[in-house]
Amino acid sequence: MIRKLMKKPEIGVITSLIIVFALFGVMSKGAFLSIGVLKTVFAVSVELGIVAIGVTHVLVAAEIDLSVGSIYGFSALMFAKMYKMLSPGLAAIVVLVLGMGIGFANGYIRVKTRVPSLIVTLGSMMTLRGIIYFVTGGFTQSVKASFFTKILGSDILDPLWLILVAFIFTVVLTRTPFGNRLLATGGNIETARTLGVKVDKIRVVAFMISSTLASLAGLISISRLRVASATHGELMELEAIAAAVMGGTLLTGGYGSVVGSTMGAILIASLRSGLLLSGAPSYWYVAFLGIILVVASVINLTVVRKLMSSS
Amino acid sequence: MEKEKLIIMKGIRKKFGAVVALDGVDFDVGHGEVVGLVGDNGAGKSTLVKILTGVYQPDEGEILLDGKKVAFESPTEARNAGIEAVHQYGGVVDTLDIARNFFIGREIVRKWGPFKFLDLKKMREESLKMVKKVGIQLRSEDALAATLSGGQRQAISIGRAMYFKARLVILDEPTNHLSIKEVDTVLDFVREIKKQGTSVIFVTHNIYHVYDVADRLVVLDRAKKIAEFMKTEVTPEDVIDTIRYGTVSRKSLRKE
Ligand SMILES: Nc1ncnc2c1ncn2[C@@H]1O[C@H](COP(=O)(O)OP(=O)(O)OP(=O)(O)O)[C@@H](O)[C@H]1O
Ligand SMILES: [Mg+2]
Repeated sequence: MIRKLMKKPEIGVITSLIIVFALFGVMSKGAFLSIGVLKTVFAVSVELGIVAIGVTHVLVAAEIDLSVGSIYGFSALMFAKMYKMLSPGLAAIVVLVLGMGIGFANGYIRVKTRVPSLIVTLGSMMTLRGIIYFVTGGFTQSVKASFFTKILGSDILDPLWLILVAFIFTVVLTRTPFGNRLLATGGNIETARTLGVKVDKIRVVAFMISSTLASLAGLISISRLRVASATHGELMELEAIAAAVMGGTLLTGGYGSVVGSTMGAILIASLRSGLLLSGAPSYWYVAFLGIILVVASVINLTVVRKLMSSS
Repeated sequence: MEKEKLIIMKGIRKKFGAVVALDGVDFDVGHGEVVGLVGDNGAGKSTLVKILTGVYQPDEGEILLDGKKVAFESPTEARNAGIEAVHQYGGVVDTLDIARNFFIGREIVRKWGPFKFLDLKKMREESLKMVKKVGIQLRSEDALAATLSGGQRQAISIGRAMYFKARLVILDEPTNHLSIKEVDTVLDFVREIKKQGTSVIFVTHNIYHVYDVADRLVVLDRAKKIAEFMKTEVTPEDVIDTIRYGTVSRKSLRKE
C-alpha cells in the first residue's frame, strides 16, 4: 500500500499538504483549523484549483499557458461590466464563450505559426491585461448579489464546483480517447503524429480547456467577492502552474494529474492564509511558495524518474 | 501484371526546399514479399517510406495499391488502407504504459450516449496478448514504456501492425541501437509477419540484417534508385559495394 503510494507522483503534494496543515495548525495554536479560516482556504482553492486543472491540460501537451491569470481577471471584470445590460446568466455565457475563444486563438496561433506557447500566451496575457485597463479605466468594478452570484459564489456550493470540475477532467484526461491522445501528444509529438493523432487539434483543444476553466474561475471569483480591481488575477498563472507542478504534472509533457493539481491549489491557498494568520508579513508568502514549489518538484521528479527507469 | 503487386510507386519526386530527396523513384512491393530498402545516409529511404505512410505527399508521381491509384493525405489514411509503420524509435511514447501506447489514435472505447470512454481493461488484455504473441517477455505489464528495451518497444509496434491486420508493414531502421539478441528478435518478427502473408519493407544501413530476411533488395543513392536485386542473385558484399561506389557491383554473382 505504502509502496504503491510512493510510486504516485501526487505523493509530493500530499506530503507537503500534511506538513503545512500540521505546521500552521500548531503555529496558529489551532486557529488555522477553525471553520472560518478553512472556508477562506477552500474558497481560494476553488478558484485556483479550477485554473490549475485547466493549465494541467496545456502542460500535459508539453505547452505552457501564461494567459490564464489575465483571462481570469478579464472574465470577472467583463461579467461586472455586462451583467446589468444582459442578464447575469447571459453575461456569464458570453464571458465563457469569450474565454473559450481566447484559448482557441492561443492554440491556433501556437500550432499554425509554431511560435512557442510561452511567447504566444505571454502576448495574450499582456494584451488582455491592457484591454482590462482600457475597459474599466483602471477602476474597481462591483457586482450586486443575485441568484446567479449566490449559486456560483457560495461557500457551500463552490467546493462542489471544484470537485465536479476535478471529476470531469480526471475522466477526460485518463478515461477518454482525447485524453490518451493528449498524453501521447505531450509525451512524444512525432510518435503521436505518425500514429495518426491530429496533434494540432488536440493542442488547440487543450488551450481551450485551459482558457475556459480560467474564465469559469473568474466568474466564480466575482460572484464570491462581488468586487474586482484591474489587477484581478495577476500572478495567478504562476500559482496555477506551480500548483500543477507540485501535483505531479510534468513540465516536459506527457504526464499530469488533475487531482494532483487540485491538491497543489489547496496547498498554495493554505500557505497564503496560514502565513497571514500566523502574522508573518505578506512577502513571506512568495518566498515560502518558492521553497515549497522546488521541494515538491524534487520529490515528484524523483518519483517519476523511478517510474521511468526501474521496473 | 500490376495487380500482382501490392504497392507500386512510379516516378516519385520529392523536394524539401532546395533539397531533392527523391528524384523520380520507381518502387514496388509484392504480396507477402520482404523488400530491403538500403542506401547511405540521406539517400532518401525514410522520405520514400514516409510518402507511403502518408506523412509526406509526393510532388510528382503516383502510388498504386492493388493496381488502383491512391493518394494518402495523412498517416491515418495510409493506415486505413492497411499500411502500418514501425518507426526508428519504436513508435512508443515513454510516459505511457503498454496498453495506452498500443492503441494511441485507435483506442478501444465503450459508448455511453454521445460520449466515448476508454475500455482500459480490454486495451490492456488485447495489447499484452499481441505483444506476447510477437514473442516478448515482459517483466512488468503495467510499466511505463520508458522502462522497456528497444526490442520490447518494437514488439509494441509490430504487435500493433498485426493486431490491426496490416497488409504492408514498414520498418525504418528497426535494428538501430539494439543488442545482438534484440536484433535477432526483430528479424524473427519480420519472418513471423511474412508467414502471415503480410508484405514488409525493411529500411536499414545494415545489409547483413536485411539480407537475412529479404526477398529483394533495392538500393537508393542520392535520391535515385540505382539498383534492384533478387537476394538470390547477390552476396551482401555486392550490395555493400553498390552502395559504396554508387553503381551496380556484382563481382560474386551467385549460382543457384
Ligand atoms: N522534413 C525534411 N525537411 C527538409 N529536408 C529533409 C526532410 N526530410 C528529409 N530531408 C532531406 O532529404 C534527404 C533524404 O533524407 P532521408 O531522411 O529520406 O534519408 P535516409 O535515406 O532515410 O537517410 P538516413 O539513412 O540517414 O536515415 C536528406 O538530404 C535530408 O536532409
Ligand atoms: Mg532514414
